[in-house]
Amino acid sequence: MSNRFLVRLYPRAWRHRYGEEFALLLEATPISAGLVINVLASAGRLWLLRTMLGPWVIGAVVAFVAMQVAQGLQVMFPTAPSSHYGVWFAAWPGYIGLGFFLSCAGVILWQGRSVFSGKSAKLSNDAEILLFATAFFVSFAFLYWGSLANGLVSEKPFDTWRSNAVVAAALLSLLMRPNIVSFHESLERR
Amino acid sequence: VAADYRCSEPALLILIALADGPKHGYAMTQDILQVSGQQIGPGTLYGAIAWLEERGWIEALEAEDRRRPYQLTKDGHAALRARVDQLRALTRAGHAKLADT
Repeated sequence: MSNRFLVRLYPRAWRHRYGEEFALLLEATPISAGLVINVLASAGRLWLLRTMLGPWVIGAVVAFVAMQVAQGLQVMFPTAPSSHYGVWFAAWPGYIGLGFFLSCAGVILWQGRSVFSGKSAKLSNDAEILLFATAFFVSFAFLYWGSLANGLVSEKPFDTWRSNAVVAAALLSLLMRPNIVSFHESLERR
Repeated sequence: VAADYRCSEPALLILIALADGPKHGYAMTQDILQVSGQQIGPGTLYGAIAWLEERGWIEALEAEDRRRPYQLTKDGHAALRARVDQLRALTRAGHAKLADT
């Protein structure tokens, strides 16, 4: 069996540039578990670092961890701080989440198919800032609204630690943005 | 501001492989195997090639029989020289410390 199929694991833009010569090298290399692992790791790294998928994956992982922490806090301290402010004040995390969800959808429309094609390395700095901000917000928004839809939130949905986690983690993500960008760059150098 | 010549080990091995002339992917892996004893996987090799090309340290030449050779650029030469000098200083320091023990 030819090893050429492994090329299909890479983002389209990368395949367009290196696919043919990479396929020739794969054909000259005997197939082995080591080869498949090497290609899988390399392709996965490209998807994470060179496409706009990466920030979403990072955001989703951060969001998942934060939600688990919020869930733990909910069990330990059933009354969250937001419950003192009433429904309108307590509801704003949800509206922020929805707003950023829409802005994220705007980024996808604006960038089109390049979101998944590996062209994001050419994004301008402004676009990067918007990308990171929306990626983290949208991750939380997805989980927040998803948890609402699944009835996982208590009878007072906005009085929970989860709604606070949306805001806290979203603000944290903006503060962390320079670190995330430099982490990205150091990963690329490796 | 001093130029940043930091790079990964595979990238350095590619720069060394290209120091004596242009090579395509397979020839690079063979040269690297001969020089360092390391078998670099295709994924690692092309990850480093893409990174080096973006930095402007190597450039692609016209494809020959579907294979595309790469060569060092002027910046690539400078980067390789800087890294090799750095490694030589490091090796010298290491040897000196070992001699003391």
